[in-house]
Amino acid sequence: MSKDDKILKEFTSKEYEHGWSVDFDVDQAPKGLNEDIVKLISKKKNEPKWLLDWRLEAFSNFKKIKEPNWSNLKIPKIDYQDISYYSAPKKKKMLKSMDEVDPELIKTFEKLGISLQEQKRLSGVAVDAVIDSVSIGTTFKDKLSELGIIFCSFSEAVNEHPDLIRKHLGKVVPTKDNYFACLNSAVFSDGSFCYIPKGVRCPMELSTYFRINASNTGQFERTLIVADEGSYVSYLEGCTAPMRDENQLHAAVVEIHAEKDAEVKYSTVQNWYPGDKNGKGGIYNFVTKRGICNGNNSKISWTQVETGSAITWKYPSCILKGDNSVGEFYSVAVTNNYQQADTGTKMIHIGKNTRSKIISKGISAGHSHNSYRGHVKVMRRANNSRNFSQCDSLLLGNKCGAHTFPYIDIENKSSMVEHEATTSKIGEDQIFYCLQRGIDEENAIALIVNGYAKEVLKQLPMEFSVEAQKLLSLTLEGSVG
Amino acid sequence: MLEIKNLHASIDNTKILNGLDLSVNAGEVHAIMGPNGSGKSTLASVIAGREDYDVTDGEINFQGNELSDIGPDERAREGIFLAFQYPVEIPGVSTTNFMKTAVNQIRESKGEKPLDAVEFLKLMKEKMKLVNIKQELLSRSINEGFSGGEKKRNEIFQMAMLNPKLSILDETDSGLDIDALKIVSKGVNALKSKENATVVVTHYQRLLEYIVPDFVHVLMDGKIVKSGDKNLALELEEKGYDWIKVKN
Amino acid sequence: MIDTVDLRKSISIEDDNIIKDIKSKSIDKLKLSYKKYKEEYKYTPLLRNIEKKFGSFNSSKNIKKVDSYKDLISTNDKYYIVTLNGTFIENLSKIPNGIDIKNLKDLSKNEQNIFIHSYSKIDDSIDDIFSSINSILHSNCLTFRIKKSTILKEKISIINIVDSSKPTYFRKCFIIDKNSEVSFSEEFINITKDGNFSNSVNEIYMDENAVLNYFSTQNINKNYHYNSINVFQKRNSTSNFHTYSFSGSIIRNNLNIKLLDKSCFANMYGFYAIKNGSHIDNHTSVDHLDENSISNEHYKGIVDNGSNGVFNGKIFVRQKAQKTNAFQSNNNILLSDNAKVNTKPQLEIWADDVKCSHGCTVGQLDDDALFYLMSRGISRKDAISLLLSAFSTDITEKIEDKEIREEYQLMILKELEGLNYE
Repeated sequence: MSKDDKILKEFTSKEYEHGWSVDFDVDQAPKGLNEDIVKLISKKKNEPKWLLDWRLEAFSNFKKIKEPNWSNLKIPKIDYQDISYYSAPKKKKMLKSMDEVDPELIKTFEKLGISLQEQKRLSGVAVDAVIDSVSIGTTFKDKLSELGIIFCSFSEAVNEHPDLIRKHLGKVVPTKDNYFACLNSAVFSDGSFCYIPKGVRCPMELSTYFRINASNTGQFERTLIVADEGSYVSYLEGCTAPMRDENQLHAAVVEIHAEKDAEVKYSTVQNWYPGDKNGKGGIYNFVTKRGICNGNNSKISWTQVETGSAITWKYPSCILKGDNSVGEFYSVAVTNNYQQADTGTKMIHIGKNTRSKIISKGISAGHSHNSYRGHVKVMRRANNSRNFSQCDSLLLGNKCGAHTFPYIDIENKSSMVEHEATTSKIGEDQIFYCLQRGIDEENAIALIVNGYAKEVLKQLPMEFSVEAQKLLSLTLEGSVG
Repeated sequence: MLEIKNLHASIDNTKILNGLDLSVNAGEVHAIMGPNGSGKSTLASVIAGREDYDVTDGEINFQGNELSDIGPDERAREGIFLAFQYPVEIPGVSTTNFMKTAVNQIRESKGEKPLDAVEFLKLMKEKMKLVNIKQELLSRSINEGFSGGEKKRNEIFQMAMLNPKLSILDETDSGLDIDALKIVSKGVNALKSKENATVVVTHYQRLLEYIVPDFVHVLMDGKIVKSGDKNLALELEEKGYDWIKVKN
Repeated sequence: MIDTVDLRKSISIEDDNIIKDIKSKSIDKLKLSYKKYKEEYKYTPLLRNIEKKFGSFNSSKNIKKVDSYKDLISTNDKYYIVTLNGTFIENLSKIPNGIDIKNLKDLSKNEQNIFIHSYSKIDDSIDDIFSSINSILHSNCLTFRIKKSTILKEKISIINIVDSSKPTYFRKCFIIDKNSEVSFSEEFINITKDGNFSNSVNEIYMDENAVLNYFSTQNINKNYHYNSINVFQKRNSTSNFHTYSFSGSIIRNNLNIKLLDKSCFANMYGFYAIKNGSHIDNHTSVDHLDENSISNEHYKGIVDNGSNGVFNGKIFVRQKAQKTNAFQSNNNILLSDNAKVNTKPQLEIWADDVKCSHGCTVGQLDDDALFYLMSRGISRKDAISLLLSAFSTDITEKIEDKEIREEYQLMILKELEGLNYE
């Protein structure tokens, strides 16, 4: 047996850390998808009529369009009637503060390393915790509201800031956008809403933490971020789910509006349960994320570290409408065992002097498949636009695949677009160099992979960056010889 | 310390070492000289445990342990250090981070507690002086965009950090100008002690003016064909390797 | 969509059972290839254009007196092969020794068997509907056999004449035996300025150590052209493709290379300079199936007013193909705001010990360089064509034969003169 095989055989996969589940009293809708369910969800949330109509419109679009089949993914048939579209920890009344949250829930989040008790938090991150599609509480609300910043659950925003929601909801990702976005628009149960007023620089990181807990449910949350003129916000998103043998569907939508001179930085560390080492179970992560740089000189920057999920299908995108606006996409996607990822971005240059940058690092191990899919489009009037894309793939082992599908469509002669891509494996000489210094193989690979992904990791806020590095090493543990 | 007996090694079924014997004791400096292709670098790699090479016969003993079943990382932890002829680039990994990982893993294997950031920095500062290497260089990706001299200095810096028992310098003089050569040699000499040993692998005598060997061995066709003291190196420089070939 | 009943009818007149069989298999593939049309022709609406213009895919059987085409043959060529609307015109052709060129139907049973083994086996009809249609509707496959250890230094020109108001089909099958070396250049000459559609499919088998140089030039005004070249390489063989495109209502080039064995080389070089509503779409794929092969691809293009340049390059590296080196690059210059470039360089890798890279750029002429040249007294127009021809040299310098290289460089200079840069 060769050394490679030996190490593969010795491979005892690090147990998925967040694979436990907690029993709370839940309020769960019956399985199935139809107009009544859509109405039921809307009713449960006490929604205004316009929102129900909006949901129903999305649902009727959903029925008309087909599941996308262009990705490089093998997606098992999903029975949309076998999913429960609403599940919420039961609560008796509207909560006024975090102190009233079920202690069991608070414990759940502490177990995840997320403290919802403000006094315990040192790092100054405000958290909106979403469990099984429903927001259970938001920290630092008062402090933020002093600055006029709204950061609350989506349902709360619908009731308290209906004009803001009505003005922005569905404007970047419309109700007929794509299959999974339609589904989300019809059945989303909660999520986060964030509004940064004119000229305000949000003093702390805002964060949403998602957790799927119940079985046989899908998670369909909706995030809406509006950055008014001259404002700045950095937003983080993290997620975990219990280990279950069945596949669970997560179809989220994130919409971002950046007005004139505003900047939004959106970071994701995606660690949904990836399934076991034989590919059983795991989350189907079909997410639509899109931002529009509406005003001049605005900027949206996406950073993602994707290590979890059985299947990932997501393309955080930027519509660069304002002149001089900037879009960025930094991504590390790691797949191991039987995971599949088809991820990338779209940069649509509409305004003049718009700039975009794409840095994508794919790492495949085991039997996994990892695809980068990107679209850079420069419209006719987008004079002097620039795009630079760098897409690198690293293969660990010879049973995995790495694929690159960049679409580049240019209709403006004064623009410059550059795309580079490489595929390689970890150099044996690099590994030997590390070994010779006394570092063992596991650590050598972790070191090299983290170095390879550094350009992206350094975009993350400090505390997330450390977590992401650990996550990369864990995901790849034991995967190479 | 190091005892090599009848060592045979090959790569891709090509025999490179054909029954090599070598014995190195603590406190000694040995020079291995030989023409291109004689097997010098192979010897260095085989001692360090590079898996591309097959050891087909013979044995290597290091401090009484036979090495054949021991991986390169464990050998390093036992105290074998190889200064590479062509140090490898690892994008995104700084020398500082690299050394911290190595130092602490070696400490861990000995049951010592890992150095914290402050202790590590102190150690690093101390060793940096030895080879005149700047902090800025150590925060950059390892060897990436380094000049030839910087790469070799970085190797000696790592040697100082890891404090090995046996250091093998593989063509450390190649690509160095005279000033860089002096700095590197100064570092190596400062690290010499009664407890450790150094094996210098080189093509030219030049390096040996600065790192003076106790023994000089001539390697040809995968065997040591002649051994002597430092004067052998001078003689070789004057007469060329053909001189030995003819004599044999 | 396509009228398959009509197509089935066309097979019924076929008297040879083997060919009948091949053709009906192609009809079965139609459905599959049609499915892929949407993605593969995302930027190139060829099907719609052809259906609108011709109504039917059927070709005409009428052939004029062949002597009237004599003047079309350039006297510079030493050896040439002439076809008219897909039919081989032997008495206008001049063929060197060492190569057999015959219609499949005219081959002896023995010879036929060799070709049947390969003919219609590696074309891209599963992936491309136009190749499927070619397989069904071409009337006669022209076979080329380069015998073992034949070294032909002199280039052989293939001149295809298109003179029909209906679609025309060209079909060729090449077998290049062991240790042979041969060079072809192929072009299509349209008798009318617009309105023709030629559909050409070539299959090329290269045995061990074979070397092939293949040039194709496309300058067909307002006509439509589909061109599919499918190559299949055995151990140690080397192929060099050079594709130059200058005008055409829609030109679609498919170049598909399968490197079946160890240690193959494939080089693909392309250059396009288009203006006035021309549309050129280069689709290439290299499939590395075994170890140690090298593929290089470099396409460069200049796109001027109203024109559209499309590039799609696929590199596949299969699990067995360790130690593969594959490189791909596509660079474009846009000269006008109503010009478009759509490029999609794609990599699909299943082996880990490989070196693959691709890159592409879309940009414009370097204004600083332009100013520099003009400051030395060179006129703006000359400076532009100087810079543009410099842009093309990366591609032309890959032509090893000096005479051929100069021929192409001259051709490019002439074409560049007609380009504008605002």
